[in-house]
Amino acid sequence: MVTALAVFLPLLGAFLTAWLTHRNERLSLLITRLFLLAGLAAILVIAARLGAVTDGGLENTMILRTGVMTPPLSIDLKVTGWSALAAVVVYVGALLGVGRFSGRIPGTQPLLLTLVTTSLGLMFATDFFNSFVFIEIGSIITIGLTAAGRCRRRWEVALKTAMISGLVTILYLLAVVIVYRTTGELRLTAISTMTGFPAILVSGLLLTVIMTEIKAFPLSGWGLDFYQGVDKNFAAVYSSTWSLAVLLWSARMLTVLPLPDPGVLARIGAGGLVLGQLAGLRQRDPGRMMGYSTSAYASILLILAGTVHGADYLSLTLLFFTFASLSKTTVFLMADPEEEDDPWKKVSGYVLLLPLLCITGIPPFPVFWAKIRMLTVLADISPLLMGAVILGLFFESVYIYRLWSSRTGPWQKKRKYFDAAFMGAALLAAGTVWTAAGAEQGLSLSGELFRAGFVRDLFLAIFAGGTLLSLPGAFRGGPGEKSPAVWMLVSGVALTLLPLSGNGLTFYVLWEISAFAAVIGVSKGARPSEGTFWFAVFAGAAGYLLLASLVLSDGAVSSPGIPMLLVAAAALLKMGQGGAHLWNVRAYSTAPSTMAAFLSGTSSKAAVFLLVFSASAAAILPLGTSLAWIGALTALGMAAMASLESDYKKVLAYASVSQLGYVIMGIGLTSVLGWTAAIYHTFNHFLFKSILFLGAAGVIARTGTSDYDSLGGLVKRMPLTFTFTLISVIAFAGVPPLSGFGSKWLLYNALVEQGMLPLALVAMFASVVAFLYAFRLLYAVFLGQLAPRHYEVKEAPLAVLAPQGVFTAVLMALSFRPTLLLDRLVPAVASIAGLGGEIPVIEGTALSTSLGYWDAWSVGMMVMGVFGFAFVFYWISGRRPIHVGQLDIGFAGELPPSPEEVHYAGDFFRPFRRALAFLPEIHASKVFGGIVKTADLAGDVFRSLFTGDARTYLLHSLIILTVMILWMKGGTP
Amino acid sequence: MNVFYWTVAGTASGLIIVGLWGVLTRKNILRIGLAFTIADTGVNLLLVWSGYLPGRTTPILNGDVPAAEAVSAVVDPLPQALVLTSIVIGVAVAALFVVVAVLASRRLGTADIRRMKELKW
Repeated sequence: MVTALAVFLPLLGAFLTAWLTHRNERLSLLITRLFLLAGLAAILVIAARLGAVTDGGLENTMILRTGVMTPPLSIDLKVTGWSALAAVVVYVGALLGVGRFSGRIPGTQPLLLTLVTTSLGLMFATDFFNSFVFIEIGSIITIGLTAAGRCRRRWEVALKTAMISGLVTILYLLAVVIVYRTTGELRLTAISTMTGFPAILVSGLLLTVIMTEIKAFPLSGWGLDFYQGVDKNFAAVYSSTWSLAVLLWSARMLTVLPLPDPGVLARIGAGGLVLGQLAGLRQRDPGRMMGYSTSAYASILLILAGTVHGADYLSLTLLFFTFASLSKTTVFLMADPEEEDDPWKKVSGYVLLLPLLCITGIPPFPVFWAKIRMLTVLADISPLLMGAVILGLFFESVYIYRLWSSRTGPWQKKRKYFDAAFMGAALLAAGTVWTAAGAEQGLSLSGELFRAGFVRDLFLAIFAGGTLLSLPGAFRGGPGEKSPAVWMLVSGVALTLLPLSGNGLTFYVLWEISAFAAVIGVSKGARPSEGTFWFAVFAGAAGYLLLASLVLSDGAVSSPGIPMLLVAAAALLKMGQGGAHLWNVRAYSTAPSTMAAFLSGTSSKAAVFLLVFSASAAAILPLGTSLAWIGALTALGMAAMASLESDYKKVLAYASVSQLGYVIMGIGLTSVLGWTAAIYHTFNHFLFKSILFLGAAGVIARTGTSDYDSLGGLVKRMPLTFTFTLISVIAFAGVPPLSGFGSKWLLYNALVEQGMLPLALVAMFASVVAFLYAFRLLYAVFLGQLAPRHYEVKEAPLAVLAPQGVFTAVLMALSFRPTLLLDRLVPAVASIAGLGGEIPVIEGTALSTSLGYWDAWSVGMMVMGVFGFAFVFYWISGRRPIHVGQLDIGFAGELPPSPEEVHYAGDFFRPFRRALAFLPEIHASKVFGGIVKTADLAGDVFRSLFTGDARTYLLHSLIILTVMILWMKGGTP
Repeated sequence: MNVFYWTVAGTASGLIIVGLWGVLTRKNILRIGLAFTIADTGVNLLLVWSGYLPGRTTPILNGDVPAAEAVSAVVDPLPQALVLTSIVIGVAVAALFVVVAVLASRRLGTADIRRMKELKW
């Protein structure tokens, strides 16, 4: 009885509202809601009775007899735990959408209610002919409601949908005829026993029908047009009702198709995912992007059907499609259907964030759990297939990101407009918590994924300290920037938890949370779009590489072989090594300065952490020498770029990548000395890069510019910032006595010890080049002439100054007493298995290797002594200095030009540039631009399949049908 | 199997092919709708054909066919019942198609499908 109510209540409501609808619109809407609520209650009761959420509950079954006779003389509906849960989503989707759609367009309630019953009917249908009836009714209502919408292009959409459903009808009935003729039955499951040519014919026909209906590439053309042109509020209802029902019906059908080899489905799906999503890359229309995403999910269904079986299949399809549907409904509810070109124009990125994250399946959102299980299964079957799927998912995340990042609207305040959407978002959030809690391999922060010890604690200190010290300055964004504080905090907390991850999954989830929070933080910059885009793309690529490694190494972050290579690639991308600096430079220079400080100083260390621990767990680092060379060449190249650059933040960005090159070099050596140097330098880099970027944040906050040409002479206006910057410049230039020298000295030792003299030469030369940009940085910003508009500039705000003070204090302590760190670091590194070479010895304050020794304390004291002596001598010599004003300059009798012209910071190293002009110019931006252009071109080729002419789409279906039948015929003798 | 049997099957297939050909080649959306109904007719014919058993009579229980012998005397009645549903649905779909086609051509000022591709790529 309850089952019957759950299915047919909406139909009853449809009759009632059909009578009411033009008499009393509000009452009609109320009744619609009441009937939907009652139906929801009924289906919840059924789900509870079936024990749908208990173990194995998805397979529990209940039969609903709708007539006195048995099928095919009556309609028999089969409700399983699986379909009951999906039915809940159908009801929820209809309830969420009814106000926005039917409330806006009177008279649509009866159709909407009928659509709900039809959707449930299709999900529960057990035989071919009932399914046919439901498919037809569903299509008719879809066409009708599309035409009822309030947007200009609805007629085109309705016509295309009608043509597609016309073809689907013909193909489907042909399949029914063959099934009935061959088996004498109409049960859906009857076809699984078919053999020979009829089986091939039926498989081909049904597969074409399914691929067209679920909009799988290449039969997705009409679906793309549909989502682009349809009334977006109808799309909201459609996504969770009819679209979901068709997906789940197809999910059942695909398992019983008498295919010669079900693996074919996975290959069709994976191929469609890569090519279809590639085609989506260039997409600019947001509605169409949602269509491409739908097509991605359709491909995922094909992949699942070809690879996963039994209870796993049920839970995965449910996880994927119910949450994707609900997310899509939420996104569409936020749209304004009256805006034809961009329905989300008035929406801010914040409100779209959650549903879009859910659609892309970024951890820890529900679809992620399904994704990782699917990938795990795929990895066992074929890593190549898994790689293809990951590539397709990456493409999807790129255009979904684009959809998100182009939102500039204000926060939507109209409650009436938004409450349904917020409800949807709340449901998604609840689903996120629920799925994360119930995930098979749960998240855990207790465990020994990373060996506890000093190295791990050091990184923990870097992440926690860096976040805390970058945060104060972030509360107020610089000129034209918004505050990134919240996102920095989210990213920082995730980073801090990173070393404590109990398993690989937790690590990956935290890594991704940290990355996407950072992307949002970067987007708060003054001119965000380009830098954020590249950051998102590179972070996304690194994330997917890591995911591949995680899946291939069975839950650990990495394992020897391919996974380790993937991890190394992810780390290099994240650190901007080997040409990937494009994102660092663009993101750091456009991000809020404090965010850049956090990214460069703190966040980049996550990649070092990943590399160090993966390599030590895998006990071997493949291609260590290549890695060292990549690091060395990056160090040199980026130092050169930094010298020639004229933007304060870009210089720091290049410098940051260059310095991380030394770290990579050290890690690549796989020796105790090398790793000690690398980790030591990591810590140093953390300190001085944080100081430099926070200093830059202060300067930019006060002067409003980061251009060398406009800066200069700030030493007297910002003495503290100057002092801190000076100290860190000395540190990173590797000049004794400060700590940068120590780590570089160790690195040279390691290089010589391993016999890598050419590499040592490159490293040293890079150090010399570092001098150039270090000096220029100091000169251009703090020395030289002060521009008149900066006369009134004050010292940097305390919020960035105080953290610099803390960093500087640690830097100084470490410079004079490096043994504070090395006493613990050296034994910790020495205990890592698989590292060769000698172990440096610490005696008192001195560190010695077979090549020599370095006593930072003595050297420091000596340098201090020399300087102190000179100072005292100067002081007692009695010569009183004459104070000269900063602008008091003579020009050999000439009238000095304006201070800006005297301050020749702009093309400072022009002679070097000229001298090196014979070298070919390789621009990372050109290389990556080329990659993007190629991908776009390839995408355009596939995109051009979708000509917009509905007949083309029909032709696609027929071609696919023919090809599949011939293919399968060829496969079976 | 007799000539009649294959003639029906051939006609039905022919109708489907003609219909699909029309759908793919016509430009006027009303003609496309017409082509769909032709193909639909073919499919319906095929559906009836699938229940055909040689040498049997219509599945109507009257004086000629006593109820007791019905099972061995009449053709399969099920497809005939199904085809009724299919025809009814076909009419509904065709009607809706015509409505959409007429309104679309009024709104867009043309009935040429080649000019209804604002949504593409």
